[in-house]
Parts: sequence; structure tokens; C-alpha cells
Amino acid sequence: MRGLALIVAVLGTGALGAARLQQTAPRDASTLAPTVGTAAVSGIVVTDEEPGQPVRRAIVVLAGDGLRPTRSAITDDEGRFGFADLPAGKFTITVSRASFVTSMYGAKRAGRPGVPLVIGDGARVANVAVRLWRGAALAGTLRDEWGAPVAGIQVRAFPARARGPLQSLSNNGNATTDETGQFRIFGLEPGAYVVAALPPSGSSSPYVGLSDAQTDAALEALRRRTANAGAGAPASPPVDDSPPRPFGYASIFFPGTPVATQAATITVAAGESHAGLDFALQRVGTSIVSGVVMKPDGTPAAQASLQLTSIAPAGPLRDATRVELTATAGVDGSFRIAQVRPGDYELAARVPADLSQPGIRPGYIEAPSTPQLYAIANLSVAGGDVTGLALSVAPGINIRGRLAFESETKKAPETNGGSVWLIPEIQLPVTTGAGLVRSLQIPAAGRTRPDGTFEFGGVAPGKYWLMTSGAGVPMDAWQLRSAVIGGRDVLDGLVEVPAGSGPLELVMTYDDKPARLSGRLETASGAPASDVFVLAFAADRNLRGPYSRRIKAVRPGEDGSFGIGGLPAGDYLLAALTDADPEDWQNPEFLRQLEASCVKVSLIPGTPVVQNLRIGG
Amino acid sequence: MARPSVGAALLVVLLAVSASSLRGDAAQTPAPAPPQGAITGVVYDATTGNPVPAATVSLSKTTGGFSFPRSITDSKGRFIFRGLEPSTDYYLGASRFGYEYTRYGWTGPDQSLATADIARVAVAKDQWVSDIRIPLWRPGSISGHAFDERGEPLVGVAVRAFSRQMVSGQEQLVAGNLATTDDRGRYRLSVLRPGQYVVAVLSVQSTVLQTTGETPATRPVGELQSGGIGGGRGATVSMPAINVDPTHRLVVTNFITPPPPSTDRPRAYPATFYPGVPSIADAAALDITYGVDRANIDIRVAPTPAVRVAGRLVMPAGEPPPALLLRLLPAGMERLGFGAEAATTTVEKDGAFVFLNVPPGTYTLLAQATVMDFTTGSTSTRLPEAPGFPGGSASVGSVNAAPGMEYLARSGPATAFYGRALVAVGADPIGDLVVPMRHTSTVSGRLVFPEGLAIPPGLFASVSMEPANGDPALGQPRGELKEGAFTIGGLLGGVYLFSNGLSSNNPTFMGSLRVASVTWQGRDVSVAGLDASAADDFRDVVITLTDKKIVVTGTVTGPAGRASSVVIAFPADRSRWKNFGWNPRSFATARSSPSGVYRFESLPAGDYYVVAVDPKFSDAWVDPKFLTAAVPFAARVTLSWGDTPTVDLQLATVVIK
Repeated sequence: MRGLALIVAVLGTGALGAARLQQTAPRDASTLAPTVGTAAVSGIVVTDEEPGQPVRRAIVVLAGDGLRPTRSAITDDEGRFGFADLPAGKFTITVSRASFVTSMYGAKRAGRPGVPLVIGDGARVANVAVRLWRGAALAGTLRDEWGAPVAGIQVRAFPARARGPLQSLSNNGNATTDETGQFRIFGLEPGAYVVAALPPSGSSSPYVGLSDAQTDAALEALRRRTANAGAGAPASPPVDDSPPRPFGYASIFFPGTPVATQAATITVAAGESHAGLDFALQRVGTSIVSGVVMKPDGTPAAQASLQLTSIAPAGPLRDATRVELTATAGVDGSFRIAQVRPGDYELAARVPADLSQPGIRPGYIEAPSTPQLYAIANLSVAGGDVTGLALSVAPGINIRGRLAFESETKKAPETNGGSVWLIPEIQLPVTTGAGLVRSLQIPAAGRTRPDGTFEFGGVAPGKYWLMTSGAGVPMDAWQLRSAVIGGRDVLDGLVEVPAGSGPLELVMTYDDKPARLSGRLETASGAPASDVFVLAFAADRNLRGPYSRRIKAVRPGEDGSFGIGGLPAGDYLLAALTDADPEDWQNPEFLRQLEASCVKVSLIPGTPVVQNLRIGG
Repeated sequence: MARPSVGAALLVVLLAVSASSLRGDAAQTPAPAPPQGAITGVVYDATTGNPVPAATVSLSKTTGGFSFPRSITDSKGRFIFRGLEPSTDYYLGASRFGYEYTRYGWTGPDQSLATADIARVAVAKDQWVSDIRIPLWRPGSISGHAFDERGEPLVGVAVRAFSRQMVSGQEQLVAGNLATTDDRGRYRLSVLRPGQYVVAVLSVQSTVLQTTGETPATRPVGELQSGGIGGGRGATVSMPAINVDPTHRLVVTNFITPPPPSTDRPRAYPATFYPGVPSIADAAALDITYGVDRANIDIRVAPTPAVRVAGRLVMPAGEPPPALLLRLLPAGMERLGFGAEAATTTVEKDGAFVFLNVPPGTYTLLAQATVMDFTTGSTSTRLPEAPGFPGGSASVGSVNAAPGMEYLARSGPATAFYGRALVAVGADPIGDLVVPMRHTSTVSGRLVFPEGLAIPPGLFASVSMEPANGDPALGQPRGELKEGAFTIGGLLGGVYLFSNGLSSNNPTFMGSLRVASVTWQGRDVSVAGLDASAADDFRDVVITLTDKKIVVTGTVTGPAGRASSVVIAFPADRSRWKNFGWNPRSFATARSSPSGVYRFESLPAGDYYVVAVDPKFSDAWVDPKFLTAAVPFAARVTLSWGDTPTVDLQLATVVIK
């Protein structure tokens, strides 16, 4: 009889893997009283068609400064929604429904920022119409080189203009082929896309395949040899029986190219369904990567876990960086990874410092407190085998952290038991294949002590996002101003943990002086301008880029007033744009071109800055 | 003339050097001719007979230690292995996504993987074995659309297949494959094993407190959890939540967005089974066999008036209410996991709770820390935990008494309390539902080792218990052994058996021992178990171990002489054919070797039937119908500790009625 199979995984980090950098945690509303008032808003959600059709069962979210909690409602069969007991204020209305593009009140196009709704005390605002754009769909069939449908392959749509890393698409940007090879990606914003199939690298045992013609030739050779042997004829020279080079499948763009720049661009309108994206996988020869992992004392790092992660070139696939293959070193520290496709890789090795400790199981993820040795190397594979690699594992790096509080009026709060996390930049999926849970760069967790100190022990070298769930700090009273490590504020980028470095010091400084920028945008004639965006971005070019917390855009309210919160202190440029694609804001070239037509402002902690803007003034 | 002669001289010299070097090589390492054996053949679809391209064919040796690159079939389903050494131990397997794995020689899918049953392929020196045909069986599929009452497609909602499976001798409902609908409302449940399925659009009304942390929607519509076995942390809400009253919100996850709740007349979409019924009892069963695709299995949902069900947990005096997720499961679906609930909610500080939007029906309210279920089919996607579930740990695995199934248990922080209540929901709201919370039961006792046996120092062992009726909702309580004594807490209301075997840091030592008896209050409870329904504690349970064993051996003879078979031993007492837990010790199966020899070493003393049957019945012992059919062919034996009987058997042809 089979024995009882039991696999236990300690959870708790799963939620973190899904979220991109969040400097602040969800507000714990349990300590805050809900805000109520006497105003009311009602309206209708309609499709983008002319005339708009009511959209039932849409989820309408009303949010705004100081509104606790956020209000939400579902539209009825006539597309209507309503909110009562609202305080006065400026609110955004966001509407979503599966397979539609999440849209904001006042947006002129799908996926663009909307206009805040300004509500006075006790006002009754009725007939607010919110347009909801139908999502587009991309569908087709994926086949192999023989025309057989391929199942279980991830197919993704990437915005065609993608530059640099991208946030995930706002809705389903991917699908998996079913066993008839079909895929359907839906709920897409209208726009231009490239579509890629991303086959997994397969298992590490090699496989070979022959074309029909090669099979015919091989069978014919066998037939000739057998016939000759049967006729008692002299033995023919041996058939070349060396198996062809093992192969894998490359990531491939529609209509059938591994090169992103040669991908076809498919433009879809709102609600358009573009079917017939039929394309085929292509084979690439694979290589073997082998070598040995050694410990600092020169002994073999027996049973080290190895992980080969592909580093996608810049472009749409940058975000698709993922674990390619894993392996476990033998008792002599040697390892061999087959089925490696051409490309650039990071090879990471991890081994518990003391394998004999109770509870240590090679290949499993241990408690982060278990001391680990790490090595990381970069390599390129271009068809040939990569052999003789020598990796030397070294202890992880200790990071000592401290929370600092700056306030003229308040005492530093008690911070006991808050959490600070270092999340690996490459967010590797934690898989449970074959019972193994593997992720070499374990997210590191630090728990704050009453005196505000915390510690990350034995962090693997690499790049991390710093993340905190507030670290036990009341987030309504304090804001995180900086997190400095080695003289660099890591809130503007990644935490770099260099291999072989000594202990690092991290100081996270909170203050109670939020910077705030507000103003009024008007046209040349002095009328309020609300169909224009205000974009604020860091004056320092080095502080721009994807995920920068120093780039923010808002659309002024109907009265032309705008407010931008959450920007750290510093120098900013303000621009007014008639239309803007969030992608553009991440494009350094676009921002550089804007510089000449910008107004410069300086944000100082605790000082509200008012900057009125006039278009064409 | 000088030139040619120079050329000729050079040529001679070169040839001489080359010849001598060849001789030198031959003298140092005699290079045998490379082996030229070959195996070729075709992979075909067992249902249609068509060749299967792009199937993966593996070549191995029963002796192990042989690695050959796997072969991918061409467009005509052909595969080729060349350069093979002579051997009589080759065997082949074939697989392709969407098909069942098959070995060469199988006459049906899912046959024995035991080495003894392998159909070997012999390759003589330089022989070409050219006639290998490997069938692949394609599991069936069910596909269709999900619509709402206006015929609009339901997008991103979970659709699931359910089937009845034998667990611990009794049929129970088990969840199977899972899919979500696309923007056309279309779903496809693929890779379905033969069987009878019912299909449902799932719908769970999940209530969370208004104060639950709020995060933006981070999960794409319809995305299920894949790979990992645990989701996020319980308190986060990753999908939109709808304000219903000042303190509660309704969360929309992988289920149908409900009609807008209103204070006067809330409505909900109940989970709906094909062909459009809210109760699983009225669902239409769909027969699936290999190669069968059932299309157009469309399901239309309609809203129904729903009510608010409020109440409170009543704790034993002075105890604070535990932070639990409360699950409201429709009658007949109590043993299912996440996604099967009509509604879920969390416990508020004072023990009060509110389920919003509950459709009418008869339900069981489960208040306990662990959510566990058995599932069939693909486990590559799962439903995330319900919002508000205070998740902590998760485990997956399988048990003997639930063949072909996997269990998944997700646990929140341990609590010493649990509660269950039957709830009939009609047209009126319920405001005062009282759920009495009971102490989980504790079992304590000691382990008696055989006299004179030296117990190794530092011995660590744990004793675990399992529900007699196999109900996964009862969990698997466990306790550590300390100085011969053990305490197991966390028994919920049900009958528990001690699990077969003790897990230990010294498996060699513990493996040499068997449980001879379990006594409590003077009775042997090893078979009847301990009934924790009354929430009593059980003290002074004595588990007596023996170092004696019972070894049953014999030879199986079939029509054509000694036969490969599976030999099954089962209790002679029919009342023990069900409620035997997850890994029963009084059932045993053993493979007979090609020479017909079998051997059992794990049975405790007692009266048994022993029968030899076709290997395809290796899991059939969980079904009392099979055991009834097998009795006429079985040998009856009485076994005492230390016996070593020989029981020779005839291969039986059992037909289950």
C-alpha cells in the first residue's frame, strides 16, 4: 500500500509575491471611525457605444481624500448606482466589470485618468454617467511544428509600445492554451499589442524529435541494414546513430518569430474580438550547464539547490523573467542542468550552512532564520554546452535596521512586532512541483522591536524591493520619508545587497510632515480646465523611471482644482498634458522633451505648496 | 619527373604513420563497434486509432540506471530509438498533454505501474524491434457557457465538476476539475477521467467586516490559484468588496457578482448545477468515458431572494470567541472545501457573525480552524481561500482509503473550540442563530512497548488519529510522545481511529513494532475508535505495541499457471468494510511476483479473507461492493501474532454487480 504522503509548506509570504512594491500597507481601518455626511451621489454606468447601453452588475467604487472606508456598490439591472451619507469632498469614481476595461468617471478614453467629482455639504448629485469601455479580446490556436495543437502553454499579450519593465496589464493579459491549443485573452484595453507564447523549458531530462523526413530516412537506413544482414551480404557501414541535439521550445511572438521587434502588432478597438491568431512553436537546440558548487572552506556544497533564471532582454518580455530550471547538486557538489535554451541567465545556488541540523531537508525552503550560503553567477548560453562552472557559496549578508522618527510635536511610537520585508526583485514563482518548494532568494522578514530596531539575517546577495506593512507605525500619523542604506535612499529604487559585503545598516525615517502640492489649472481665458492632466515628475532625471514614486498625474476637478499627495520632498516639474498614456510617464525620453514647457516647484516637508497653472499663459 | 616521385614518397610516409597510430589505438583500448539495436513504433489514440503526434516516448530499463533522451513522435505518431545495447529489460512509456500516461503493453489506462507488471521489450545484438504500438487514452471534457437570467455571459466565474467517490468504504461527494469562464461565458473542463459528473457554476457570498484591510484588485478576472497550495494571508481582500451596511461588506472573488444588495430585499445567485438547478440532488449527471467531449453544457443562473443570517457563537463560560472563518455548506456538500459554500463570514470580537445574501436552503454551519477536502482530477489550479480565512499552514497528500484523490488541508491558528449547526434558511432573515461552541476533545494515554525491549535514547514519535468515516472536515489530530505518554488535542465531533503506524525520528525501530491493541476503559477500541461526538476527553488510553509480526505468504495460480496479480486481504467481519479511516491496517494489498509469490507483513491479528485478483483491482478494496463480490473466491484465515501461514490462491475473476 502507498504510504501517507504529507507535504507541509509554511505560508505567509504568498500575498507578498503578488504585490508590487507598496510602501505603505492597507490602512488598518479598525482604529478609524468611518466618515459620514449628508451628501448623496447617484448615477448610471453605460457602455462606450452611442448611445451608451446601461451596464448591469458593474462594481462602482467611490474614493477620495479622507473618505473612510472607500464606498462601493453594484449597478442594478438598469445600470444605476447610488451612494448616500457622503461627506463633502472631491471623489473619484472607478467602475469595473469582468471583461470590461476598468474606467474612471470623466475619462475620455479607456484606461485614462478621470475627473474628480466635487460634492458640497448636503449636496444631491444625480445622473452621474460613467462610461465603461468593453475590453478587447485576442484569440487563436497554438500548434507545434507539426501542426498539432499544444496545450498548457501560457500566451501573453504585451502592449506593443512597451519600453522597459511594465506593470502587469490592468486586466487579464494572459491565457493558457487548452488541449485543443486554443487561447483567449480578454478584457484588454483598446490598443496595439504583440502576442507571445511562453513555453516552459520542460523537465531537465533531454528529449529529441525528428521531422517526418528525418524519421523516413532513419527508418529507411534501418530497413537497408536489416535487409543486407538478412541476405548475408557484407555488413554495411554503421548508420549514424548519434541522437540529434536535444531541443526545447523558444518563446515565440505571433506570427512566428522569436525576435520581439519582428512581432506583428495587432490593434484592437474597445470591445473588438480579434480571433485567428494561429501560430506555431519553434524548436531551439538546448545546452547543458554543469559545474561544481564549493563552500568557503573548499569542501563541496553537497545537495546545494540551484536555480537558473532567464534574464529576458529589454523589451516586452522583460517582465516575463522566470525560473527556467532547477537542480540539486550531488554529494560532491557537482551539478548538471540539461535542456537550457539559448539566452542570458542568472545561476543561483543555495545550501543550508549546516546540513546536519535537524529539520533540514535539501531542496526544501527552510525557515528564513536557517543560515544559508549563497552564490550567484551570470552566464550566457548560445548553443554549446557550458561546462566547468565553479560556484563558491558564501554566507548571506546581515542587515541591521532602525526606525527613526522626526517630529516636533509627537513622541516616537511603540513599534513592537511590525514587519519589514525585502522582496526579491525577480519575483520567482514558488512552485510545489514534486513536493519541493523552491525559491533561492527567500523574501527576508524583519520584525521590529520596541526600540525600533530590526534585523534581516543572512540575506542572499541580489536586488530587493523594500516593503513594509507599516512596521508597526501608525500610518495616519506618520509617513515614511526615507530608507537609507549605504547613503542611498532605497525608496527611489532597489535595495542592492552585494555579494561578500559586510553587515549593512538600514535607517527608515518617518516624519509627520507630509508634503502637499495643490493648485488650480485654468485656460488662457481664466476658465477652469478639467479635461487636461497635471503631471508632476522629479526634476532630477535619475529619480524618474518605472515604479518611481516621484511621478504622479492627476486630472483636475470640474472647478479646475487639483491636489497631488504622496510625493516625497524635492524638486519637481509640472506639466499640463491634453492626453497622456501612463506608459509615457515612464519613458525618460518623453519626460525630457517635456522639461522645457514645465513649471518647477520645490516640495518641502510639512509645507503645503500651492501652484496655479495657466495653459498657454 | 622529380616532382611526382617526391609526392609519392610523401604519400607513403603519411600512410605508414597513420597505419601505425591506428594499430596503437587498437592495442590500448579495444573499441567495440557501437551498439546498433533499435526500437521503433507508433503512438496512436486508443479511441480513434489515429496517430498521436508530439507525444513523448520514454525508454527505460527495469534494472534502472539507464538514461536515454526521450523521443517526440512525428506527425505520423512515429518514434525511433537507435544505438541500443542488447537487453531484455527495456520498457516504454508514452505521454502527451491531454492524454493519460500509458506504458507499452497496457490494455487500458491507469494500469499497474509496478515493476512486476512491466511488459518488457527484448533487443538482441543489433536487432531492430519495429512493431511497437502504444495506445494513448484521451480523457473526456465538458464544455459550455454560463449565462445569467438575461442571457448575458458570466465572465470569470468558477465552474467545477463534482463526482461521487469511495472514501473509507462510503460514497462521498468530491470536487473535481475547475475552470473559469471567459468573456463569452465559455468554460471547458478538460482531462476528465471516466465517470459520472455533475457540473456547477459556483457562487459563494463572502462577508467580511467593513474594517478588513482593503487592497486594490490584484488578481486578473477569473484567475485561479495555480501551483502553490496556499493563497494570501487571510485578512487581505484582493477583489472588490461591496458595502452593504456600516459594518459589513460582500466580497466578489471568483464567483458571480450578485445583484446589488438592498436593505429591503437582497438577492443572490445561488450556485447552480447543470441543467439549471440550485440543488445537487436535482443535478443531471454527465457520463464521461475516454475520448468523449460533452459540449453545450450550458448553465443559466437566476437570482433568488436572499436573507441575512446573523447569530453568535456561544462559548463555554469565560472563553473568548476564536477568530474563525464560518462556512455555510448546502446539505449534501458538507465534506467539500473552499468554493462549495453558499456563504462565508468571519467571527466578530464578541462572537457575533453575519452572513449576507444567503439564498434559501438547508445548510450546515461549520466553525472550525481547518478546512480540508479530497479532490479528483487536475490539481494545477485551485480556488483561493475564502476572504477572511486566517490561513497559516497548508498540506497536501493522499491516503490509501481515497484512491486517485488528493487531499488539501488549510489551517488557521489552532483553537480548542469548534461548532456545527444545522440552519434552515427560508424567506425571512435570521437574527438570532445560536451556534454552541464546544471544546475539542483530547485523547491522552500511554504507549506500552514490548517487555524487555530497549528503547533507543532520544526516540521521538508522534501518534495521530484520523476520522473513521473518512470525513476530511474532521481533520487529522496529532500528538507527540513524551516519556511513553501522549496527548492528542483537537478532536472534533466524530469517531476517530488511531492512525496506522507512528511517525518517528527512528523509523527502523518504530517500523519493527506493530500496534497489538488500543484499550480504553477496558475495551479494545482499535477498530471501533473513540467517539468524540459528546465532546468528552478520553484518558488512560493504552496502545500496546508488539515486536511480533504476522507473515502471510503464498503463491497465486491462474489459468495459465503462476500469475501476476494483486492479492487483497480484508477483514472477515463485513461491518468493518466501511468506517475504517484513511490508512487502515486491517486491509492489505500485495503484488504477486511474475512467479506468483506474494507476501504480507502488516496485518494485525484477526479473521481475514484473502483473494487474488487482476491488478486493475488494486484499489477496489475501498468499495464494499467489490469485497462482497470477492468473498466467494477468497480464502478465509485466522491470524494470530507470530503466525507465518502459507495461503496459496487461485486468481479470481471478480465481477462487481
